[in-house]
Amino acid sequence: MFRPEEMVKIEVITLNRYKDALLTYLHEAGAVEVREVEVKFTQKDSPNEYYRKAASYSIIMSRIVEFLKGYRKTRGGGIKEFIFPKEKPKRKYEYEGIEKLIKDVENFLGKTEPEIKIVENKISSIGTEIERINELIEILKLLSPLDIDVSYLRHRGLVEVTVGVVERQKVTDLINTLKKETGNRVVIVEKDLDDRALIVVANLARDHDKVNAILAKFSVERLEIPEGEGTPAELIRDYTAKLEEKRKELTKAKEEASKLADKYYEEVLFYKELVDNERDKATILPMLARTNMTFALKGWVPRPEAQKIVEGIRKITKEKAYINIKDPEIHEVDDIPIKLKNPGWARPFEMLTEMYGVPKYNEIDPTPIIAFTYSFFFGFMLTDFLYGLIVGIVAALLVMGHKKFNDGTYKFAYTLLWSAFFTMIMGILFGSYFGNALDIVLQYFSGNPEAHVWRIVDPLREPLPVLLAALGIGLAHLFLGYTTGFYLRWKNGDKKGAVLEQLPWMLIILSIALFATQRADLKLPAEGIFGVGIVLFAIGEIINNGGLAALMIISDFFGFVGTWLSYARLMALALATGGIAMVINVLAGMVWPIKFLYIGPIVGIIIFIGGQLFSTAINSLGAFVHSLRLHYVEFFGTFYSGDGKPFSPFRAKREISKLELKADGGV
Amino acid sequence: MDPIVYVSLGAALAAGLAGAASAFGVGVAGAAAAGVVAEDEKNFKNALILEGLPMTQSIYGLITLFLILLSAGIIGGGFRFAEPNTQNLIKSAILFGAGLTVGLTGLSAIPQGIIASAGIGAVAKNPKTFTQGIIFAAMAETMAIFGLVGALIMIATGVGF
Repeated sequence: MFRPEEMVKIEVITLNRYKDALLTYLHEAGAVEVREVEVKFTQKDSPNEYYRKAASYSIIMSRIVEFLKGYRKTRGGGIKEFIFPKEKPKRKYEYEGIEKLIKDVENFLGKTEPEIKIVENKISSIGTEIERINELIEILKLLSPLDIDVSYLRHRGLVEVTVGVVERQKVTDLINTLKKETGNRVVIVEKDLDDRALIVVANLARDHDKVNAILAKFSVERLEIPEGEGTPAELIRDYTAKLEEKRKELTKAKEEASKLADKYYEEVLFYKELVDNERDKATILPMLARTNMTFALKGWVPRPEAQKIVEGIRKITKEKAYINIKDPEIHEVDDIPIKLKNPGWARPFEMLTEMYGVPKYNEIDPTPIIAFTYSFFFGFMLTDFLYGLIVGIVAALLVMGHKKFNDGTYKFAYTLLWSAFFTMIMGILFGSYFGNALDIVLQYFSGNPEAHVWRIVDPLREPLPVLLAALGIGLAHLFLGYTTGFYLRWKNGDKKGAVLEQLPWMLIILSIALFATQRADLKLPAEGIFGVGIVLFAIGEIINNGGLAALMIISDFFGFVGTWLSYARLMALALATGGIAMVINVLAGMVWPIKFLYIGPIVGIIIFIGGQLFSTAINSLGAFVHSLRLHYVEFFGTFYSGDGKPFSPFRAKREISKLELKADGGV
Repeated sequence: MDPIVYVSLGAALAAGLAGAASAFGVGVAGAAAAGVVAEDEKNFKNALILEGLPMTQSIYGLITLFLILLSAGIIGGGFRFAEPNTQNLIKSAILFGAGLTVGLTGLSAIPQGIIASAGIGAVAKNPKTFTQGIIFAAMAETMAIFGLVGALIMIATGVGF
């Protein structure tokens, strides 16, 4: 707690023939962050043929997955599946080296890919065919005013027939030009379509070039006359029948695809996961150094897991390995990857810390503090017992459903559960139950217009005490931050920074707290502490900024005041929640007295329930955002850098597969 | 001016200015949201939440309107400051000031919408920036919150209920 996990450096040199087995072991163990071995003049490894095959099979399978996914019968889904998702079973695979794995994948693909490809091609060719028929039917519809056998329209010989569509206002000009240029040796039929016109031009074949040029000039869109004989109406009938047939074929093909999806989808995913992991494994090859016989690897491993990893490596390499475990040195502080280490109750809150950035190796991990302050601020800003209850019930369900996955939803729901607890407590303290809804009910039953539930203070009537409480909480929060910063800087050797940049604010906050007691006997010490704080602060500014100090003193001091006043949002959002709830209650109350057909109570209840649920959602979002902001901007500003590098181990992604390494590690 | 003019102007400016600004903000963010949803429908949830952020100012405006009306007795009873004496003029002017504060600080919904729209674009490229996008947009809301704090104090201590 408060400290990231201790890390140690691991260096391994072993024989090349153990490489695949060792990398697979480390990949499955997922406990080492591999770093580049910086030795000059060594050879670097690059992915061999098998890794390249893995990458290309992965692409092929992505495509197959994409195709099959569309035809899978969807099961489950819905809200129940979201809250209580089912665990996916993990299929075992006995790993005997990448060559064997690639062979297995090739066997699988050899069997399934052609089968899937046939159906895929069938579906796409039927689709193209349907599209073509549809286009033909569209053309036939355009031709339908002509009511003659369409084979005439395709006529070629001494006389040529051309059919096209042209804008209506150009028709007269077009006809005149055609007649003029061909010396009246042309027959033109024109039929009006909405804003365009259908024209049929019959001309002598020797006038072909002339006519064509004119048609192009008037931008006549030529129509490709469909095959077949009969009037357009007859042909439309034929083509529609054909279309129906094709549609049936398509449905059948889709059924086949969905059968294939049932049969192969899970299996393709399984093999895809296997090759994906092989492909990813190859990404660290360039980080290794190698000679003809050996290769070297280095990285970081969490201390508690180091022993297990060392033993694993010894076993895989049959003791033929040089393994060195070293403690980190002081100059490596910026380079050590950070794995947060917190007790179970605070672990889900690591999500909030990680979102901002993990601490450096010699910094404090603020997660346990955030667990309390974030939830408390959230509760203060939502401040309603029943809103807290709603949020709490939803969060508790999600926590129950997602606990076994330890996923993002679980972590978020867990933080929400804590927040809901504080929301309910604050709701009781401020007597807020859907705003003033419970008061209204009490007043109705007791007949006393002044009746209300127990509360410390009514924030809407007396906002000042709530504002003071918010600012007091802010002061305490900032004091905690500056004190933590003071401790850290002192401990890490930056004593000057601790005294000149952290201590002044601690003193100033202390003096403000003493002033706030308004006791005459404390006034003198308060002034003294404030004076010392200001002097230290000014000295710090002069040392850090030299000539600009005067400006910086003013700017930083008001910066501090701004940061402090920012905590006023605790009160504003608390009141906003109460205010919105009250507005909803007033609206529901306005329609309530309508007696006709019980419309009043029915609409009133709809407004009340819908409104309060909406208010719960929007105010929870506000509370989440602003509670997070108070931590990221105000609190972290006092001591926290978040500049650490998160620990990203060399780890296989196994959702539906599980490797069983053979006893000899696949060698 | 009669007290009723102060009171109704205060209420109208609080809800009106803040509401109009929220509409601008949501509009800017909504245009961006429509774009990223066209690229990938998965962006819908994230874009919707970011688009909704500039709406808060209109809620602050609405609360202030209700509190002003409540404090002046227009909701629940009769108008308390009907008599145009000094006391009533002062109180109604304070309510006017409170409404104006929330209305003007509510203009922060416009820049918030611009930030949210940039956030929506960023989320479409990298969904991990979602929370950061929300925090950036929430920065602009600070001014509206300060305005609400000020107005609440003006109404509760200057006039009362």
